Amino acid sequence: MNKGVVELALLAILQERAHYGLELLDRMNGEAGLEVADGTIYPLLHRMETGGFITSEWVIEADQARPRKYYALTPQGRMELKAMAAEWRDLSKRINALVGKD
Amino acid sequence: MTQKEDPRLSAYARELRWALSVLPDADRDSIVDEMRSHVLDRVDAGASVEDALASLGPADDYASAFRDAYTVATSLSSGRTPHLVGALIRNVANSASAAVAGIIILAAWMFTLMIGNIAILKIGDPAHVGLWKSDHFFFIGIIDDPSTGQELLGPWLLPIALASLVISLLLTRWLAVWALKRIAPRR
Repeated sequence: MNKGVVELALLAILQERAHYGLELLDRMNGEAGLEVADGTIYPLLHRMETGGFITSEWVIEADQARPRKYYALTPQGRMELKAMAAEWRDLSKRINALVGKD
Repeated sequence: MTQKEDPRLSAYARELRWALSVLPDADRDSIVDEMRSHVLDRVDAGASVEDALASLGPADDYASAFRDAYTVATSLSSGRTPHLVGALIRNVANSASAAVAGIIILAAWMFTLMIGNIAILKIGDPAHVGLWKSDHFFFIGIIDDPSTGQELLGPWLLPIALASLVISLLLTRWLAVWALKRIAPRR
């Protein structure tokens, strides 16, 4: 469940634009309130890339001293995001209905 | 750049590179470079090199997640049963699907081993070996006095053992693929 949530948050953030690993990590932990460890995010990105959901590219930005690896959604990743978001909404609806029963 | 780099970061990078030796060079270089970039970004944000490295965990633990994912992906693409089983075993502790598949496979092979041994004994001593039943017992194995019970399988014990072997082989492969596909991020 938690793994699915982390993947959903990751794909949702990448939907906006390409991000590098630390940027993604900070947004997932800051905005989404997840507690993703530094040592977890890169293997996850690697697996998602192997699965074809995201793609990566090393970019040298003008104002940065070193290159950064940026990740972006692939068309397959967008489809996966859509499917995972639908599952998430359905699950949230069911849990909300349960919680509201008392 | 290497001369200015913190020795702890250099040592971690070396250890990580070594721990990732199973991966293709390009993937390994990219993972090490990204780790370095991450640590330097953390240091720029005010963290110490020590804390930044500690948050990644020991290099070998950090590398194991990449190695496991690589093993799953390559075993699925190779489709060879020994590779599939090897990848399954490596993921038994991290995945409920792999653990369930592993338990079922182990049970199937224990049954096959048991019935296979009995079938071999049956070839040497057909009168005393088999699946025995009476009012007082029901077991598969060797009986001292065959007149005290009825043997149920007769010559079918060997074909059943062979069928069990084939089913175990097919089941192992099918369950390994099933579990690894659930681990791999691909639908």
